[in-house]
Amino acid sequence: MIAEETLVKQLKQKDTQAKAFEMLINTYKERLYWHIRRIVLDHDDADDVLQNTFIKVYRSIDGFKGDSKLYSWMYRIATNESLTFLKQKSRKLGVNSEALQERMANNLQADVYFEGDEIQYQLQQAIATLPEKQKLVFNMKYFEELKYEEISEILETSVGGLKASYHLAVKKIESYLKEN
Amino acid sequence: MKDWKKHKGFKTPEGYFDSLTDRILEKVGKESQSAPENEGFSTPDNYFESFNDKLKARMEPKETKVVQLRSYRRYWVAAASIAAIFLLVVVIPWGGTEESSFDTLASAEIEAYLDEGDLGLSSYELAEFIAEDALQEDAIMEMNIEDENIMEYLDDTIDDIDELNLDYDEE
Repeated sequence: MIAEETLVKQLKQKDTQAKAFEMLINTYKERLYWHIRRIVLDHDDADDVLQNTFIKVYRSIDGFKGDSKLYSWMYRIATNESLTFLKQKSRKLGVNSEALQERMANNLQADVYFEGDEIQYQLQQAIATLPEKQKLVFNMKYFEELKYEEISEILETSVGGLKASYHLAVKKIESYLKEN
Repeated sequence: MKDWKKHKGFKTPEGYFDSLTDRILEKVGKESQSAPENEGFSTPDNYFESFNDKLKARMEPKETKVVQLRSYRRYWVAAASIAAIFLLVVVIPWGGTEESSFDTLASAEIEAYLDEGDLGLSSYELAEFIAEDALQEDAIMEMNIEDENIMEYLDDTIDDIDELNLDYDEE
């Protein structure tokens, strides 16, 4: 795989940009898709947000200073795009974010692209009850198996804070699953 | 050192080890990139294969039909010239006219403007803009106002005229 620094350099040069961008899409599209999908839950919404994410990456690559890793920067864009998308969606539907989360989780039962059994459905219901930050941390740690240091760079939060968020999220999910 | 090359009768399919690394890498790559099996989410068939084309199509600038203006240009110029001459003849008052100034405005027009215009100022606020010497207090004080007019004013503006305890001179 091409070194990150070289890829960034190629992305910033006009003559190599197209090829480098295609390489970037091929490398990250699936990882970013699943990261986005866990936040927005619906496939079509995830597809929209993923396209918006890559377009934003393409347009802002000149502003990428290399202070963080390229993939952390892209994950951050994908996270922000997903959260912005959900805010717009709740405004359009005229409901608050908690009601939207509940509605999204309930819709999974009728979603043709959700093939989970009852336990997996219950787990998604439980995740939907978490506050935004805890949900992000739980998904990134539990499903995406990212390290705290990586999550810290993406969400710009201290490792200590992330550990506390994850611990609280697990406790809440456990008690939700016991009650239901 | 462990002698792992002794197989004693076992053998592998031809080229097995040559392609092993690629197959393992492929499998590892697929596993690390797909959603964990116990999660339940899935995607439409060939979604990731077609994603690049879909994104490219969205990023390419859409071609819009360009309407050539050049061929119509001289007609526009001719039409604009005629219209301009017509306007000059009709609109400009050739006989000359008095230049409008503050003095030429009828006071009724100014009053109407102050009444109807949304100035956002109360009459007290407006009064602050008027210089004291221009108020001509004497003119108001010396004005001979009929009692009838005063009573009419009080009747209109005061809720309960009896509260004023006015003395009526019964002649």
